[in-house]
Amino acid sequence: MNDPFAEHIRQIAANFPYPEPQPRPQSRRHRLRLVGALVLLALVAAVPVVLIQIGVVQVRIAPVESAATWQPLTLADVAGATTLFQAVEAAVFPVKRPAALPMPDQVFMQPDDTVILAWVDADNAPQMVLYQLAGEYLFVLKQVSAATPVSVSHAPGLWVAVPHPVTFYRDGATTTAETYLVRGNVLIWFAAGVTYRLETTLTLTEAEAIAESLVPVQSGTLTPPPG
Amino acid sequence: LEDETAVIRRAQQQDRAACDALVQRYREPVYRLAYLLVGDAHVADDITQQTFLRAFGHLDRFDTRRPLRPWLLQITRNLARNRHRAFKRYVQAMQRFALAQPEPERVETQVQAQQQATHLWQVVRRLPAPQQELIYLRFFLDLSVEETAAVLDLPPGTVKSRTHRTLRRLRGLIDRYAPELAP
Repeated sequence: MNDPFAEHIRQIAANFPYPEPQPRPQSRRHRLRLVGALVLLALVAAVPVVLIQIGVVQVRIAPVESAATWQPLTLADVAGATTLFQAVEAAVFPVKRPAALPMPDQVFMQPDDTVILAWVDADNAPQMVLYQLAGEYLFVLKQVSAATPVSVSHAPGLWVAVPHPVTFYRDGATTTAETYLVRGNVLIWFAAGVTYRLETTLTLTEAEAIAESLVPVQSGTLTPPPG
Repeated sequence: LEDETAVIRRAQQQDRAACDALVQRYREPVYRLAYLLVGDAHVADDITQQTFLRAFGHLDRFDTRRPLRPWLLQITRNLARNRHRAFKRYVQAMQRFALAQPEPERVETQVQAQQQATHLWQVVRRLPAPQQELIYLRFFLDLSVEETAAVLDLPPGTVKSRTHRTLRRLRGLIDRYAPELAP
């Protein structure tokens, strides 16, 4: 390794003070459960405004004033159109797709930490859009009047089935924020460091089945771009 | 040191001394990776024990031509991920606004180098989980590209390119959150 920065990191890391192994006391698991219960109670007590964080998505549950203020997000508004092969090759996390569905019709990538897969109908209107967000600089705020806590493969999630505004923030040299109207149903969940956001016309049961069927896309199974 | 293949073969025959020898040889890297991933000494100790239990349960299927350490660390990584997802992630996801900034459970020695390493760990934990794992394996545990590739089930070339990208990103985080760690 000739990279001086890599060597610098290796030298610092070599001094990490690992604690001695500590066998778990029997009561600790119960204490952790109690902490979890207190967190949930605190959320319930925070009515009428409740904030729930699912990965990089913060959901603000409160009365929504008027959804007419915002325009819906169309795929034409999404930057970073690419191919699934290029997205899988460049992403810093394993890009996934629903096992039972065909390959997405459109793929978008924004830096190397956000991948968006879209399935469209004959009129090019989106039927299902799957966001995969692993970014540290990205933050999404949804304002909804109601949401249902769900679990996707034991991971925490939320189901939103009412029109609502969603704001995407990207914190780079300058912070950018864009707000759009979401008309469809949305399932959000967080697993292995990646936030998933499935926007669809499907029902909750159908969306959960799609979510639980995600499998990593192997770039070797895809056709690389010519040249 | 006794030839590792011979020790593994004896362990496959359920030789208790051979199993103990493998635990002695690999306990430290397994525990260290578990601790880096979950940040809790109790849980890391649990995961270490489970790693060896699971490994010995499947040792008859292990190909002795392969090195054992990446295989053990792969088990450790999977167990830590599952543990994380099952509880800690849930609580954190409900609680936090920003990404978690876990404090080390116990830092007994206050020497500057250790504080610096702990600070680096806190910055690394701002990375997405796959990039954290890469940094832990390559730089904290000092695994080779090939060993890291075996643990992460990736081609060595992919490990190299992802390491390059991850270091670039880590540098950005250091500049932003911990400029005192910059070279």
